[in-house]
Amino acid sequence: MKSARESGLVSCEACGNLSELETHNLFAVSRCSLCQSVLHSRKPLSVQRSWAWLIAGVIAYFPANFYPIMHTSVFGVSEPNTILSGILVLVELKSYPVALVVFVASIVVPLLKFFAISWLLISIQRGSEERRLDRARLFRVTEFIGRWSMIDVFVVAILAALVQIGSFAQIDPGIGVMAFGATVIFTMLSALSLDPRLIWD
Amino acid sequence: MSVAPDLVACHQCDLLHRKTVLQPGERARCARCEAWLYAHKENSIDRSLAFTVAALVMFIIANAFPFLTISVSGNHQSISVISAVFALSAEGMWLLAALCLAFILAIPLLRMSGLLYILLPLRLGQHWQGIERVFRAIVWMSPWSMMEIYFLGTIVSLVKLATMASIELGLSFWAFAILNLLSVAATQMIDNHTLWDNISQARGARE
Repeated sequence: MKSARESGLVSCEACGNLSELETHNLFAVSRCSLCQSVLHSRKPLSVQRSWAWLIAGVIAYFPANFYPIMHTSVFGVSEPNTILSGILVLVELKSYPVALVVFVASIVVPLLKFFAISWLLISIQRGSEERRLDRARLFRVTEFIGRWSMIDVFVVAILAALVQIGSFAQIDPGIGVMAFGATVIFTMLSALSLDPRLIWD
Repeated sequence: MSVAPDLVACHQCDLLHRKTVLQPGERARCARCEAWLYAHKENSIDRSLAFTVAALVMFIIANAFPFLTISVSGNHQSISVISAVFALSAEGMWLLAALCLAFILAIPLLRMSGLLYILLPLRLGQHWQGIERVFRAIVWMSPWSMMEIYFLGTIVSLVKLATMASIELGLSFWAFAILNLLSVAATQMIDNHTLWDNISQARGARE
């Protein structure tokens, strides 16, 4: 069993078509004959880029949790809500399934991504040959669930749009939601930069 | 075109496999990392095209009518799908508002229009200019199309407000729900290898 690279081939990341790997000139851009995407045997600077986005995501995660993601005011009394207090509201309402969805999307998934991508990157840098299949599966899970963390950003946006009922009640987005959105986008970019083929090299 | 038409490399671990002919409904999986390699989806082009056209119609309906209406002691407030974006920009969060506009409206719309641009000429047996570029744009945009996440966010919002106010689900709410199902179905029907076999054939027929 040989990889495409070992056989002197490169597969297009967009359409899957195989082309000959041009090794004589590393800096020349070659394109897929079928869909004309730029060909990369492995994503360029994959590990560095992935680390950079991940670190940016971790940094944004602190203000995302400390600052309020929205301000709820009922009859003029304003109250800040953080990600965690938003989940506690759902628990008080006894909406346990929805509370669980938000808890997983907003707290478990970002933390899982931080640890999962760090482990993947460190093991790639060490050239580890252990538990490759587990790591490949972990990568797929990480890549798949990452986008779902955007739920909380959308919840804040919808509540802020809907609850503007004169002096009765008003919801406004807080600065924390920007930081949280940044965390989600940065960790998505981190996962997208990471080339899973490196796990098997 | 391909230097090795009988081979396929796993997109997740780069292992080469010899292509086999699949029965309709079958999928091939990588022997090493278990990623899906390619599939034989019956009537892939026709079905995907049908779902794409239906999804585009639903997209228009979803954006033309009220999405949700909230009522508290005689006061009403009605919003459309796009209102959430304005709520963010009203608070000065321009960048986040612009990104949300892209994630829930612009990218999904461009992605579906792009699918139509690729699939329609295949159905008509024609070859249109720039299909390669459109295909690459769709691949690039796919992770950033977040309509279904927005829809789940709407449901979470409704649960949060359920005890405080009465909320009426507008026509757009149901159209948006159906739009999500159609969009997922349109994507599910496509297999990249089948798609490019068809495009190559259409090119060959023209030349």
